[in-house]
Amino acid sequence: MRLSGRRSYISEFSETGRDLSETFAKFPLAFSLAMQDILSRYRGSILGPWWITIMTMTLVLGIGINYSALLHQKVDQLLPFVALGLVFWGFLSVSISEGGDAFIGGAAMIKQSAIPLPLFILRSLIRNFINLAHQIVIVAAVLLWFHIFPGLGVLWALAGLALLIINLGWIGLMLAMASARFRDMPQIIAAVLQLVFFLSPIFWTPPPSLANSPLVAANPFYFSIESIRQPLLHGVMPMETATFLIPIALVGWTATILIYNQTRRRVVHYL
Amino acid sequence: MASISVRDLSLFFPIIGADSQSLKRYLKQVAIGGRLGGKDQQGSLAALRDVSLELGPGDRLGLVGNNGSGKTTLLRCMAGAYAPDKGEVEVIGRIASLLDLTMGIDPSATGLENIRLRGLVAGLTPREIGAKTEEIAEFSGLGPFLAMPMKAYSSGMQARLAFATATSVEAEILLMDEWIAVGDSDFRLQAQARLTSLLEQAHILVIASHDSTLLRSICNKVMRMDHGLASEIVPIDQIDELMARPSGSSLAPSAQGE
Repeated sequence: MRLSGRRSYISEFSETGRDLSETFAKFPLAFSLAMQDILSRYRGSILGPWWITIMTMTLVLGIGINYSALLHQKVDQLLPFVALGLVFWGFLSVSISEGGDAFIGGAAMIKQSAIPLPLFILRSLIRNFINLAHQIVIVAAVLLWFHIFPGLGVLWALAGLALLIINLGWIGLMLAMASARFRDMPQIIAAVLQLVFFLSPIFWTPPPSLANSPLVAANPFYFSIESIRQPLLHGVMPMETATFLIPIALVGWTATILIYNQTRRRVVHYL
Repeated sequence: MASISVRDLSLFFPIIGADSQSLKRYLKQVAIGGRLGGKDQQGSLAALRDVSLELGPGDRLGLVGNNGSGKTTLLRCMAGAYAPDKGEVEVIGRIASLLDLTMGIDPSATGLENIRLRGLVAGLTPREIGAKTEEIAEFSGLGPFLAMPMKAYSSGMQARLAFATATSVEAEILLMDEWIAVGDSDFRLQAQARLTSLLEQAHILVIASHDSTLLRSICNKVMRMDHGLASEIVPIDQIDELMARPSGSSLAPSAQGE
């Protein structure tokens, strides 16, 4: 192990690269920590993470049935849309908010050991991915119930999910650094996510009148959900995945690495 | 071959009050534009200043110095938790850090789960942990309690398990912040024996302590820290002279040429 003072801007990049590669090399540690998080959160509970599935299911049924009556939409059109939207929104929003808490939660370890910082983001992503895996039954049940067979769309949906995880990686790292430094961040993140949830077409289908509104036409949160939902419901990947989400991933990771490069030495002192 | 090499290590802690960690405060400062001196006003604390040392196999170094002199910070730098602001830390060999026995321990998890968790955090592979679990369980003497959540343990039992797990890592380099004493009188004897054998296995020991009798018995070298500055390393039998030096400039690296 060799640690040295900041020698140059360029040499710092190699340390950043080492942090990232060590994070992946220590995947088993991140996985065990994530499993332990889930075990301890639901210890003593019989259903454990299946409770998230049940909570989502109640929301799906509530919103799906109620809104289809209120908005005069067919249940078999609205409910699958809402179900998939809520499942993947849950993964997206909790990954973002817990990503923001990742360093604060791991403070004891960060202050004592040489565990690389991005590992705590990986831990949060694995934890939320495991929770998401429990919700796949909702997706499967809804698709079967309404006789929707996506076929090869499943592969597109997996690609969309992979892209979402890549984006959640940089968002989590960025927000974890910001939250460690500014303790108002976790609350700000929660408030913003709540607003985004209601403003985005996640549990309501966008009416034609909103087609040009930025909420529909330039909403990366909506596009992220659609990159998984559209392939499953209609077997096609929306264009916006290529025109919005991939560029966002590239720009986001570049910006995050530049900021991480500047901040990585300071994070331990913020905690 | 194990070695620790620290060259001109400096570390500064930014002083961030709970208050200045709020975003509003920060934005205000930016908006007002340095009326209060902006960033400089926050200041930073030099926790370590140009510390240099070289340790090789067989070295048992005691760190002495008042509270806040930088002993723990230096240990954490060696453990890799703090990246230096200046200088370099190079550690070759597997490190066992006994700085915080409770690191990675989850009170709601069972004893066995915690053995696994703590082992992983300490850098063991799942296979190594599997091989050690039985030995750790036996040494802790907790028997059937290992299947129960740790929060059901008394604090003494928690300390036993933490100690048994933390000391199960065979390492070339042992970092300790104060000598560890846990458990009742029986366990205490066993624990001392285990710690002593760990010390003997280790190629290098660095321990921070205020107990000069203890340091005399386990160390062969000693270094004094004072306000982030380090003295030169002297043989342990000179510990009294080292402690008798007046605090301040005489400890500076420039005073090394004795």
